[in-house]
Amino acid sequence: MRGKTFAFLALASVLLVIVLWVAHPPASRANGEKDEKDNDKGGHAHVPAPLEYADAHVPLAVWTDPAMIARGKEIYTVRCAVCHGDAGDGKGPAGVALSLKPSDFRDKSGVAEMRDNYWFWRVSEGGTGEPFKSKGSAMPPWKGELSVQDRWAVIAYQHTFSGHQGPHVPWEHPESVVVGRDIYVMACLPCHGVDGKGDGTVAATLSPRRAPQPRDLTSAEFKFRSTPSGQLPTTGDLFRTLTEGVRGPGGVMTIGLRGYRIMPSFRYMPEEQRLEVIEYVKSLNRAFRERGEVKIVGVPTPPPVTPERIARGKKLYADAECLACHGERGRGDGPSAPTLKDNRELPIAATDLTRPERFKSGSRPEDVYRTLVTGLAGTPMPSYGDSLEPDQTWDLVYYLLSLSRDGRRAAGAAAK
Amino acid sequence: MLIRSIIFAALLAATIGYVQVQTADAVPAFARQYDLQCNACHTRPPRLNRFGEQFHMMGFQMPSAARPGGIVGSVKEDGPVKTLIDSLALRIVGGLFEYSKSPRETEAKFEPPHEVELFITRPLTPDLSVYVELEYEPKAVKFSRDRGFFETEHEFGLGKEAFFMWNMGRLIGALGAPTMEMGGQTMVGRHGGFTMHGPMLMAGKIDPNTNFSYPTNRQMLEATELEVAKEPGEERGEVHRLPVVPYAFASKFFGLFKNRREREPQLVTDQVMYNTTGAPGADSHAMINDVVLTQVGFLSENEGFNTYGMLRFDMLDRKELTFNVSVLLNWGSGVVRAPDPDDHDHPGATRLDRLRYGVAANVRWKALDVYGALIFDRLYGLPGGLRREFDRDAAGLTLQVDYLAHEKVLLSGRFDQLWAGGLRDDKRDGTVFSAQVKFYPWQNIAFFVRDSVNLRAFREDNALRSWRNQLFVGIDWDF
Amino acid sequence: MMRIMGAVVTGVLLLTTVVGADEAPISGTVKSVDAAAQTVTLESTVKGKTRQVVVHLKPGAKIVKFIRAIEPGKTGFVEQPLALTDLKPGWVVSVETKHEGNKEVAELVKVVLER
Repeated sequence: MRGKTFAFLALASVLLVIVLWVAHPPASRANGEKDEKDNDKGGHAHVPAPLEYADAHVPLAVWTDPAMIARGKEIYTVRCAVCHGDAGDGKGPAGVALSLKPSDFRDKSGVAEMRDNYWFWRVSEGGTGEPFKSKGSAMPPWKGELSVQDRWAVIAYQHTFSGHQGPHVPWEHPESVVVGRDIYVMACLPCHGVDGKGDGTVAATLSPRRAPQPRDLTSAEFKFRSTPSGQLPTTGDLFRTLTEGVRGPGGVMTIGLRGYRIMPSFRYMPEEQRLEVIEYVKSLNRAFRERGEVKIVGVPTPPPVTPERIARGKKLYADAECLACHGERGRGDGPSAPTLKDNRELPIAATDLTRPERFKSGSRPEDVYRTLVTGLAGTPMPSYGDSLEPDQTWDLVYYLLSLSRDGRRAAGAAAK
Repeated sequence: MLIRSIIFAALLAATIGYVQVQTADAVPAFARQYDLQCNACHTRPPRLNRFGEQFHMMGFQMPSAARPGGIVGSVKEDGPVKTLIDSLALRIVGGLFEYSKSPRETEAKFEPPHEVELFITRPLTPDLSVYVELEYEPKAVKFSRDRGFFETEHEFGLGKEAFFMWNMGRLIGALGAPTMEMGGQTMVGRHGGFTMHGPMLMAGKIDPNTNFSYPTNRQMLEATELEVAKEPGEERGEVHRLPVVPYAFASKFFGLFKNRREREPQLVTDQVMYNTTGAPGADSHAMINDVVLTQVGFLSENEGFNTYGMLRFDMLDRKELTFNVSVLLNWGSGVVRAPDPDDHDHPGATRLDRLRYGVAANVRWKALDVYGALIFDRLYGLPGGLRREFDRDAAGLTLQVDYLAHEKVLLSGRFDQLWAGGLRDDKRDGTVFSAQVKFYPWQNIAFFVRDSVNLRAFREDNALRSWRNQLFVGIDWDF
Repeated sequence: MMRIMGAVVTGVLLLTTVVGADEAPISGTVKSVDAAAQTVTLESTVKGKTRQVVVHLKPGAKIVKFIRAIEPGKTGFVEQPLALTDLKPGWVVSVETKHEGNKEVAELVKVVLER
């Protein structure tokens, strides 16, 4: 009887796998897949803007600025109307002749689904990016001919066709982040909470009464950034955190687990979906759209590792008072370590620098460099961007990595 | 015997837990597969938190992030050995020391862990996962068919559950429903509108209880052991003390039998639908808009057959508070046998139907986790000769509170009330309070001390109440 | 019986091929112009596939681009006729074609974008 049950289960499993590979569901617009009908509605595949454009948000004031709208109208009339039509309906004389029809800006739902950074990307790169290139888009890239302000202006004018008054932002158009919201509810809400305040029920039991806690995504403080101290992260930073997860500190741990995570890695989530959920996360915090130009901390090319650098780094380690928290040997047992608290007044451990697999922001030399320059907002770890020259920072990076075998290996590889 | 058990467990642990493959170290299967600490999915093992529930719903995969290649991708990326080891986990659970007290006797003894479980589980594809438990019990209580009584023996074999879980969303899509791809799995519906995760088909040897507001297979207080004793000079092992189990889910009736030919009694505390020991069947559950979980299925039980439906309503996480409530309806067709009206010690010719319905709820707020269930049973088809002697109604209430007093210390308390049914001369209600302290020096290793107290009058002649106090010291280790 | 069914199926397939061959419009980038042969070679991308299409212009075929009307009081677009030799490689054009014999034949070419 048992043998028959097992055989049945095994056979059923094999058959199921075959069925799964064979059966394909029809394409769905809702998740951005190619759909024949899209061609009639102007290729409405609202994929997320690629990372290089993800932070290109249109300033809020532009949407309702009469001067910008007027300027946009001038540009539109000359450059866009021949395809998109004077009425913004996608029925310009050249547009109707195209196999892939231009967007109809009067389509309220279609416009509402478009995020501003997507819009800016399309105007800048035209139809040269996927999936539009494969669809045969004839839209030219305007980044060579229109300045950033001109592109904002023409987008603001195009926006007027939809009839929407007010800025074109996710809190006015929740439909622009529905995909991300669905992903968030499934994957992020238990820790980060319904409103993104880091108050999900998992938060209470994950590492109770001590740091780290799930991030309050509505706050101004994000630990892992490539932006200067006091600034929000870039979309790329959020993407990296989502992809890598966050490694846990010392304290209670599972025997033998190496570099284990407290926040999972979502690297198997399709890239587009990661971008979608990040757009939803950004929509929870208006500051992402109010901050203007994004400055990034550049990481210079790693110089060669030399004993002199490491020696200088060791001296800097003491002079910069790193050992007060991280300890003489970098084990996170400095004299100040027991008193450390984060911005929520929760006890927080100083990182054990001899365990680079536990470095939350990554353990490659450029990751360590970036962490030193940006600091970790919300924690006692300061930014050394203003107090250390780049060369000094590399000295310190190499000293820190010299404290462990894996660190030394990483430093050597990077310097090559 | 005890030493052999310990050596066996240690060897298994050493083999499975400490083999170094590349950078893989010894960890529980899912933590290993995803390099994730235990507390990401568990309030404390084995109880699932909301993220763990989503993980389970995904067929043991990261919510919205199923590995695209499944097991093939894992073999290509990590190699076959790491893939195999990551699919295995070992759990050792049970008492190390037991102290029980009744007016008649006091007993203190060292006990081996009562269960060593080997789990083999992982996703094969983003839509198909397997889960198999193999179990070794050094002192399993079995009903001997040949001899017609209970005895203890060691047993190794298929454990509680062995099933595959299949996300049928793609099949529904192939039939024409709108679908969307989320994290490698096909979900039915549209973003911003109706969404359905699943239906997930679980088939094999299953316990569908995981999705209930009170998942007994994941609550913190393990069932105590069924105590069987032999009188001096007797070969027959009689039930001396029934285990302390969540009474809401127990069989609840005195005097029933599982079958006719073997004459195996159905004990009042036996696990039955909706919390089984794992029974052959199929279950389908789906999460709608992340608010409503629907579940239907069928399971075999004894000589009969159960069908059931369950609905769970979830309130989303906010300010560290979440709440869900479930309703259950279950019809068991011919699942138990009535006693012979002329000889209650033997099963009669009549199979009974059982209607089971109930409600459960769970509130989690910060470090507090409260869950409970109230379940009613009614038997149908009683032979005329038993009508006066047999109470066909029963009910059970279980209320549990877990409090994470400290990151490493979990306090639990459970109240069980049984309003028993069955033969009126034999049936006794039961009221038990259990308390437990569980200490986690590491996330995957726990030591517990639990005490159960019978709050009703002691009755030597009734295995439900033939004790006053049971104290256990035990371990719960996962590798 | 099977042979008849096979012939019917083949015929239907062929018919759909013939019917499906009329793609109107085709839009793409001008790769080359042959004034003598009265052809325009376009590179067109549809459904992820890029192909080169040689479009034969019928005698009297029109080639137009769109400019703003210059008459007072009018702001819309008007057609401005062009010669075949005015078409430059890199321009984006749209043509309505018919399949005649084994050739794509057009009577009207619209310039969408001059690059």
